[in-house]
Amino acid sequence: MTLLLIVLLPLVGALLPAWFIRWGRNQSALAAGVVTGTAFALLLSLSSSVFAGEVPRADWTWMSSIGLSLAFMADGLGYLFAFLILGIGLLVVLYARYYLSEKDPMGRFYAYLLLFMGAMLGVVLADNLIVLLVFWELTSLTSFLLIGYWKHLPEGRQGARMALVVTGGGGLAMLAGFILLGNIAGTYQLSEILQMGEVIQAHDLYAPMLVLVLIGAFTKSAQFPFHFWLPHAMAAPTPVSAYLHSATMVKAGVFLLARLFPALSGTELWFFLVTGAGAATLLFAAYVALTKHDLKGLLAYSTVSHLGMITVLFGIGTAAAAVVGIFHIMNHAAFKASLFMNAGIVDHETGTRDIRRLSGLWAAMPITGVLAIIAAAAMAGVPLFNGFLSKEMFFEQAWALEYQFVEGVPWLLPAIVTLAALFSVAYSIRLVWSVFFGPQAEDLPKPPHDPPFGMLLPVGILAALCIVVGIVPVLVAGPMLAVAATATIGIAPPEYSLTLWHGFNIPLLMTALAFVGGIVAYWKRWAIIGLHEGPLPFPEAKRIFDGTIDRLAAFSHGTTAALENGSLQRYLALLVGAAVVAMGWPFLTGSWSAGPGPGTPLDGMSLVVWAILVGAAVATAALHRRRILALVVVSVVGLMLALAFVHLSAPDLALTQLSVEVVTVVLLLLALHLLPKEGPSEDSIGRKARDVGLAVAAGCAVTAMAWVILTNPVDTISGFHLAESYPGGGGTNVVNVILVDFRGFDTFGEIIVLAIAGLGIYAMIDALGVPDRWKIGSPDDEVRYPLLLTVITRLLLPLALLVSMYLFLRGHNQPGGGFIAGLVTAVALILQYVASGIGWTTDRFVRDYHGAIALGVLAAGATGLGAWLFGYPFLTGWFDYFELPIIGEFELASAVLFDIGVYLTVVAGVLLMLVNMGKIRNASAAAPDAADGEG
Amino acid sequence: MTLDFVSRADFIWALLPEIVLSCWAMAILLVGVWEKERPGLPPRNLRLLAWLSVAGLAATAGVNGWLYGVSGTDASGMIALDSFRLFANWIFLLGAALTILVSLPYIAKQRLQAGEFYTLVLLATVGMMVMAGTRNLILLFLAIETMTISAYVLTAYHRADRRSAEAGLKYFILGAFSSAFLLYGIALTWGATGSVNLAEIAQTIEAGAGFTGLLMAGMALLGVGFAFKVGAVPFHMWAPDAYEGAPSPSTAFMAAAVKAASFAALLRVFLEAFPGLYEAWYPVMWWLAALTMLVANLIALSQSSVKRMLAYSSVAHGGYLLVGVTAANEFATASVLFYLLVYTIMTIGAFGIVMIVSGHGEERLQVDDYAGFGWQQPVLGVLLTIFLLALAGFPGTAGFMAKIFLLQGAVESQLWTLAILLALTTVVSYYYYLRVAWYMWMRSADAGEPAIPVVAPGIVRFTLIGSAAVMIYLGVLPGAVLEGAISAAEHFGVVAGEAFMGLAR
Repeated sequence: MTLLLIVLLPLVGALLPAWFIRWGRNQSALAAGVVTGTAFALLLSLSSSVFAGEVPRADWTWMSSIGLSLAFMADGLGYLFAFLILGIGLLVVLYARYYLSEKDPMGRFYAYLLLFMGAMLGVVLADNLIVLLVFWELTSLTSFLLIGYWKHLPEGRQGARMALVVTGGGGLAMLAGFILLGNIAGTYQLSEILQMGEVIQAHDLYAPMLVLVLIGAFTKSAQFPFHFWLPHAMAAPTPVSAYLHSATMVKAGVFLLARLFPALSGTELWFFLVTGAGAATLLFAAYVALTKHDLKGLLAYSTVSHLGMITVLFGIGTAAAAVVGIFHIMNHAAFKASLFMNAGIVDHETGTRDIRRLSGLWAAMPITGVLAIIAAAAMAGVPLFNGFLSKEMFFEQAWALEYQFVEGVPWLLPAIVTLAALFSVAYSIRLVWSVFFGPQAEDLPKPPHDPPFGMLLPVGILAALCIVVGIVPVLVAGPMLAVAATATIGIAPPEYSLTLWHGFNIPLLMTALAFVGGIVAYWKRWAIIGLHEGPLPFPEAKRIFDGTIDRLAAFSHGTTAALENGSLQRYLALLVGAAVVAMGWPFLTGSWSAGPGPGTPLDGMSLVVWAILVGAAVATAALHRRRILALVVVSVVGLMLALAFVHLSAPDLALTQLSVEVVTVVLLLLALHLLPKEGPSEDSIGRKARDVGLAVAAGCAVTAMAWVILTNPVDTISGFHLAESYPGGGGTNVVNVILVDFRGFDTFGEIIVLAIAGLGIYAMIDALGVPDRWKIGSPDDEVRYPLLLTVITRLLLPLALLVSMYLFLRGHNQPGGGFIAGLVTAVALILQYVASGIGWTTDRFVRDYHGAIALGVLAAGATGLGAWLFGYPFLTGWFDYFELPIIGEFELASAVLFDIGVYLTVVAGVLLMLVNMGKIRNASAAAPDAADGEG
Repeated sequence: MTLDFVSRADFIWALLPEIVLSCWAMAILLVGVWEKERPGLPPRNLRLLAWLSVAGLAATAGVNGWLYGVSGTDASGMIALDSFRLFANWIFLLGAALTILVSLPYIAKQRLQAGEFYTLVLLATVGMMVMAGTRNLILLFLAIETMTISAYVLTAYHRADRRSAEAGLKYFILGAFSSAFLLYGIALTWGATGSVNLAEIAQTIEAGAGFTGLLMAGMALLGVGFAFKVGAVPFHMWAPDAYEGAPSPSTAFMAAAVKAASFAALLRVFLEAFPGLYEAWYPVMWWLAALTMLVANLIALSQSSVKRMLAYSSVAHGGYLLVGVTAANEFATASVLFYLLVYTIMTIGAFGIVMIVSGHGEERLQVDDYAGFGWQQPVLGVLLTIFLLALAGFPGTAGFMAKIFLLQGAVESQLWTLAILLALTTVVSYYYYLRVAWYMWMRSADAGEPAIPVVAPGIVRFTLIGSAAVMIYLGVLPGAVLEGAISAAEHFGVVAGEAFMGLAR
C-alpha cells in the first residue's frame, strides 16, 4: 500500500500547488515541498526492510485475461532510484522557488514537476512491464510539458516536441519489445522475467526483442545515435534540466538496462549493441562538450557522455561492471544536478550563460564558485571526490574486458575511455576556470553577486555529498550500493572495494594520462573548438532530425500526389486493377480451369448479333464524349440484348428489355438535354492506354470466369419454377408467375423503388428552382409541333393502349404482364407529350401522378395484406376459375389485382420522371447559377 | 427465451432491435416533414428531432440488452443470436447517438434538414446492425447497401457545398464498383458452395466439397469489396476525399460507425465462412494490414488540414484493426471489438471539437488555426488533447489499452512482424496527432487574430466530457468491457483457433 501511495501522492498532489498559487508563491512551493517530502518520508519508512534484503511489494489484479497486474516493488534498485528522485526532487522544489521569476506561472510549474515525479516513481517501482511502460510514456509527456514550460521561447517549444517524438517514439519501440519479451517469458511480471534469463536469451526472438527494448532505453538516455534531443531540451528552465536531464529522466534509460540486466545481459549481441553505443556516446559527447560555449550546452553533452559511460558498464555484462554502473549513477546524480543548479545560479545572477562572456566571477560570487569547483572536481574525477571512485573502477572494468570489439585490438576500449576522460577533465576545467577566474567580465547584463540562501542550499547539500562520498564511501554509499547492486544483478555482488587507494596500477595510469592530457586540451581548447567549428564538418544532429522529418514529409507529399490526386479515374483504375488480379489469381495459380460441359453450336445469326453487340459496346466507349451519339450506340446494345433473349427463348425478358430500353433512352435523352453536348476532353494518351488495358483485362477475366462456370456442371433452379408455376401460381407464363407470385415480395419492393425514384426526380427538379418561364408549356411557349407527327401519334394512342391492355390481360399465361403493359402505356403517353406539347397533353390526361403512384402501391400492398385475412402469409397468391357467359371459363387470380397495382405504379412513376425531366427547355436553365432561389 | 424459428414471430423477436430502429427512423422522417421549412432558419423542431432520434437509439439499445437473454436453437441460422452481434450493436448505437448529439449546432448553423439527416443516420445504423447480425450473404449485401447508400447521401448532404457534392459523387461511383465486386464475390461463392449461409459455406469447405477455383475467386472478390469498405490500402482512396468533403457530422459518423460495421461484417464473413481457407486469405490480410499502416501513417504526416489528417488517421486505424483480423484468434477478435468501441468514441470526440473550432462549418480546418486554442478554451483544449492522445495510443487512455490488446492478439498468433510494425507506425502517428496538441498549447495565435468564436451548447460539452471520461476510464480499467468483448468473440475463437493450428510462423 505504501508503494502505491508513494507513486500516487505526487500524481494526485500535483493539483495542490496549482491550487495554492492563488494564495501566493510561497504557499505553492510549500505545497509542492510537502507533497514531495511526504512521499520521501514514506519511502524512508521502507528503508529498514529494504536494507534487510526484503522486497516490499504491492499487487492488484488489473486485467486477468491478459495477465496484467498493477504491481509495484521496491527492491534495492527501485529504492535507490526512488530515493534519488524524491531526494533531488525536494532540492529542486526549493531551488525553483527562488529561480522562477515573478512572471512565470509557478503553480503550473510545480504541478508539472510533481506529475513528472509521480511518473518517474512509477517507472522505477513498477513490477510489471506494461505498468512500467505506461509510466515511461507518461514521463515523456510530462517532460514535454516541462521542457516547453517557457512558451515564449521557440527553441523551448521545438526542443520539447523533439524530445517527445524521440523518447515517446522510443517508448513505443520498447512497447513492441516488451510485448515480445512478455510472450517469450509468458508473463509481464518483472520479478518473474528476471529469473528467466537463460530461457529468454535462448529464444529465437531474443535479437529483435533486444533491439526494440534497447531503442527505448537509448532514446531515453540520449545514447548515440539518439543523443541529439537532449541538448535541445536545454531550453527548459534550469531546475528542470537539473532534475530531468541529470538525475532522473535520462537515467530512466540506464535504469532500464539495470532493471533488465539479469534477463537480457551477458550475450555477445548485448555487449556489442550496448557497449558499442555507450562507447561511441562517451567519446563523442565528451569531445563536443568541450566545444560548447553555453554552460548548459556543455553540461548537456557532458551528461550524455556520462550516460554513455554507464551504458558501457552495463554493456560489459559482468556483475562487477554492473556494480560500478550503479555506483556511478549515484555519483553522477549528485555532481551533475549540483552543476546544473550552479549554472542556473550563474545565469540567474549575471543574465548570460555564454562561457565566452563570463569571466572572473570569483570576486562577486565566491560561494557559488567554491561549490562549482567541488562539483566540477567530482565530474573530472579528482581524488577525494566521488567521481574519482567510480571512474577508477570504470577504468578497471574497461581494462579487463571479456569481449573485444576488434579482434586483436584489446586496447581499443581502454583507449576510448581514456580519451573521453581526458576531454572530461578539459571541460571540467573550462567550466570552472573560464567562468570564475581570469579577468573580471565587464559587459555582463546584470551585476553578479551570490544568490539567496534558498538557491545555494540545494547546491551545497549536493556538493557536500560529493565530498563525503569521495572520502568515506563505505560509510555513506556502501549500504545503498550493496542492496541496489544485489537487486540489479540478481545475486550477491562480487567482491569490490570502495577504497581510495588501489596501488599503482593501470587505472591509475589512465587517470594520470587523462589529467595531463586534459590540462593540455584545455590549454589548447581554442584549437579544438576551431577544428570543431571549422574544417571538421560535424553532422549537426538537429539538422539530421529535421531533415529526416522534412524528407519524410516530402516523401509523404509524393505518395499523396501519386495515390491521392483526387482523380476518380485513377482511383477506379486502382480498384478495377486490384479486382482483376483477384479474379485472375485462381487462374494463374492453376487451381481452376474449364470444365467438360458441351459447347453451344454457333449459327450465323448469333454471330452477327454478337459482332454488332461487341461493335456497339466498343463504339460507346470510343464515342463517350459525344454524348447523344454514345446514347444511340448504347441503345443498340440494349436492342441486341433483347434479340439475344428472343433467340434464347425468353420472350418475356425480351419484351421487358425492349420497353425498358425505350423508356431509359428517352429518360437519358432528357437528362442529356441538361448537360453540355460534349464531355470534356482530359484524357492523355497514357491514361487512355491504361484504361484500354484495364478494360481488356477485366473483360478477359470476366469472360474466362463465365466460360469456366458455364462449362462446369451446375444445378439450376429453373426446374422448380417450371414445375410449380401452374399448380402453385395458376399461370403458365413462368416469368410472370415468378414476378407476381413466387417473388411477389421482390416485385412489391421494386415498384416502391420505382415510385420513390419518380418522386425523387420530381423533388430534385423542383429543388433546382428553375423559373417557370424556362419550362416548356409555360404561357410564353412558342414551340410549334409538326402536324404530321401530332396526327399520327393521336391515332396511335388508342392502338397502343389496346396493345398494353392485351399484354396485361394475357400476362399470367403468356408473355406480358403488368410491368410491360405499364411501360407500353407510358411510352404511348410520352409520345403524346413529345408530339403535342406538355400543355395540350396535361390538359387532357390525368395529371395527378403522385396519386396514381400511391394508388398503385396501395393496391399491390392491399392484395398482399388480403392474404392475411385468410390466414396466409403476406402476398400468398390465390386463384380460381369461373364460368362466364359468352367468354367461357375465366380465371381470377389475386395476382391480377397485384398486377394492376404494378401497372399503375409503372405508368405513373415513368410519366412522373419523364414529364418532369422534359419540362426544362434548355441546359442553361438548369445550370445552378441560373437558379435563383437556391441558396 | 429460446427461439427455434418455427413460428414466424420468432424472426420478429430475433430482429427486434433492427425493427424498432427502422420504425423509429420512419417516424422521425414524418416528424421532420411536419415542420414547415423556413428559408434561412434552422428548423424549429431540431432539438425535438435530435432527442427523438437519441431516444430511438436508446430504446433500441434497451431491446439489444434484452436480447442477451434470448438464445436460438440454431447456431447457423440466417439471423445470428450471439453476443458478437449484440456487442457490435452497442458500438453502432453509441456511434450514432454521439454523432447526433455532437452535431446539433452544426445542423442548426448549416440549416441542414434535420429530419432527413437523423433518419439517414438511423437507417444506416439499422444497416450496420443487420451487417453484424446476419449469416446470410444476400441479407448481408442488402444491409451493406442500406448502410452505404445512407452514407453516400450523408456525404453529399451539404447540397450547397461543391466539395460535399463532389465527395458524395466520388464515394458513390467508387462505392458502386466495390458493391458490384462484393456481389460478384457472393455469387461466385454461392456457385462454388451452393449456399449463401456462412455456416453452411464453412461446412462445405470443411468437407472438401465445392470448386476451389471458383471459391477462391469468390473469396478474393469478397475480400476486395470488404477491403474497400474498411478502407484498406490500396482500396482506401475514396476515404480521404469523402471524409474531407463531407459535412463534418457525416465524416465523424462514417469514420467511426461505418468503419466499425464494415469490420464487424468482415470478421463475421471471414471467420465464420472461411476459417478453413485461413491459409489462403491470411497472407492477403497480412499485406493489407502492413500496407495500410505504413502508407496511411506516412501520408497523414504531411496533411495540413486537421480534417484530412483525421481521415488518414482513420485509414491508419483500419490498418491496426486488420492486424487483429489477420491474427484471427479469439483474443485478437475480442481486441478488434474493443478497439472499434474505443475508436468510435475517440474519433467522434475529436470530430466534435473539430466542428466547434471550425465554427460548425468548414472553415478553420488547418492545423495553424489551432494555435493558442488550448489557452483560449482550456476545457475544450484538454478534451481534444485527451482524444488526440487516445488516438495516438498514449498510456493512460483507452487507445493505449486497445493497442496493447491488439498487439497481444497478434503475438498470440505469432505475427511478430505485424506487431512490431504496429508499434513503429504508431510512433509516426505520434508526430501528427501531437502536432495539433502542440499548436493548441505551445503556439499562440498571431497578433491581431481574433479568438476563435466558440459555440458549444451544454449538451455538446456534456457529451464530449463524457466521452473523454470514458476514454480515461477505459484506459485505466478496461477489464469489464474487455471481458464483454472476449465473450462476444468466443464463438469465433474456436473456429479460427482450430484453423490456425500448425500454421504458426
